[in-house]
Amino acid sequence: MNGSRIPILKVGRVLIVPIQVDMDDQTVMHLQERILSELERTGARGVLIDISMLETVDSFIGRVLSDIAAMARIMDARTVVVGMQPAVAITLVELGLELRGVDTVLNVDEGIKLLRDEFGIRDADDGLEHRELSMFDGEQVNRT
Amino acid sequence: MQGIKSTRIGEIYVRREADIVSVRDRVRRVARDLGFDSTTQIKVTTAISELTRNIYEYAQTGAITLAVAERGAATVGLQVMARDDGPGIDEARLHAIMRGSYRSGSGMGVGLAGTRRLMDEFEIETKPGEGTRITVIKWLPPVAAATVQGRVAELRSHFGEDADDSAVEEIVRQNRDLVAVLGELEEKRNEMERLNRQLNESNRELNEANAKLRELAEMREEFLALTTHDLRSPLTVISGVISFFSSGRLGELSTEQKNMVAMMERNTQSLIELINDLLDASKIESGTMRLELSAVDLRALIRDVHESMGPLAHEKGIAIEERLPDDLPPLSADHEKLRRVIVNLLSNALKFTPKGGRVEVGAGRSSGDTPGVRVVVADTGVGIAPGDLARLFNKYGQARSRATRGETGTGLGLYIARQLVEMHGGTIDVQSEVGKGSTFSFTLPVTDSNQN
Repeated sequence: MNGSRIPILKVGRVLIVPIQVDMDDQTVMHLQERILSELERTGARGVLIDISMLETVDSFIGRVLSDIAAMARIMDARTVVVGMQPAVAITLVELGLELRGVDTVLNVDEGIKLLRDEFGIRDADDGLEHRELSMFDGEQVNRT
Repeated sequence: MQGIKSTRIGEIYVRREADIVSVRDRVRRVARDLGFDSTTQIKVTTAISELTRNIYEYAQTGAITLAVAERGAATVGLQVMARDDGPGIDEARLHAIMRGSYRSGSGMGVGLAGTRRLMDEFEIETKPGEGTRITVIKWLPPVAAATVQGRVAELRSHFGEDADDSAVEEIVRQNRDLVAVLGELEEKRNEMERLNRQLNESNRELNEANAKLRELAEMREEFLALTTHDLRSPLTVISGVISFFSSGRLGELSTEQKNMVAMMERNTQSLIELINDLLDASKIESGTMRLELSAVDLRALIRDVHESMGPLAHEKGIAIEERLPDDLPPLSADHEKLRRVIVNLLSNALKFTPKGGRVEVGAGRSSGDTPGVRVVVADTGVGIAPGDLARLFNKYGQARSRATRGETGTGLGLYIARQLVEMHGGTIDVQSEVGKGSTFSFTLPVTDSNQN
């Protein structure tokens, strides 16, 4: 089943979450938990969620994105959603969905820039220690 | 919807949360293949995702049906019907939802209103308690519409897994049936167990009753054996004393006295016979009757019996005729038992033959497959009704027609005769015609097989 492996990458003090596939609700909820626990573990200050591959953002996924942003903020981190397809944006507006509390930018570069400006992180601090922190393992997701 | 012709493409059951993804995936592919541009594909997919989510959230199960909608000749679109048997929506809330002022606890309350905005046609039928049925249509731009005709089969291929879906549904249904059947079976099994317990209980009671009956039967046989034995002893004494009188050793008797002594003798004799019958029957019943085999001269035996029965026959004015060939083979038999069989048959014949009648006793080689000897006792007596023949050889089976004629006897004679003949490995038979007489015959084998 797609959606079972979503990586969470740490670049500098930013968590990068590239969502490559359509996710079922459980995967979305699991992802939310994973992001929050990674925030706690790594002390990251920013969360960058890349939804450039995501075609469907319905009310549930939209709400979870908002929730992630709200929770991350309570944990002293900013959330940026990047790469939203124009069609998705149109759909969200027609659907009447606002991604409250979520900042959106066009692409990953812009997102990192935004977060860096926000926290005043110097260039030398990031980029090189690019490593994968955890994988979403299919086994962790209970699909019956 | 009015004026719209729809051709079904396929259906997806919504039962699990993961089905929402599956719905999204198929709707997207169908929308793409129908020729919707990518933005519209995403709009439609998102709208249907909302509808599916509502089904799962409020009704838990339902179905999404995809169809090609046609209005008139040129307008073609994708029709999606979402139906469930959930709680439905009341009018006030539906109004709030559609106006956009409703806020649900889980989503953001934009589902239905948003779906209506994303789709071209929107129709909802719902009532509290009667489920919800929502039909939406997205029309294709006229250019794309022209290419849709006749492609439904191709679109249906996206529902290749639909077969799996309905197979799953079928299996679920069969499982439910199976569970029901198993339940019934379990019930039946319980019922059967209960019946079995009852049966066991009754069986146990029956066994007890049976054992008691057997015990009683044994006691009765024992009693019979003991009493008859005890009865015979004094009778032997009486019989001995009588023979003293009749022998004349105690002085010459007057004619009247002689008659009385003769009467006593006759009655004592019949009493002894009766008791012997009872004793034999009881021995046969208890299985203690044993044969003492020896070479028996049948000719001499029949002569002897004839002689001893002579006075009785003479008294009744019945002639006994013998038909004994010279070449009778020697028999291996119990002399006393065989004598008893012949006596019983002969006395039976005499008993039921009126004065002036004729009794014939004969013997000869039997004509059956196995070599044997056949003994025949025929009379010109009253005969036996066909209905009585069958139980003639049963214990106490004296024919009713005879018993009513005031004849005495225990009814054991023939029973004993048959038992003794069968102990010798032989068979006994009777043929009779009412008013003309009866013919009793028995056959004994002459080979070694007559040992029992």
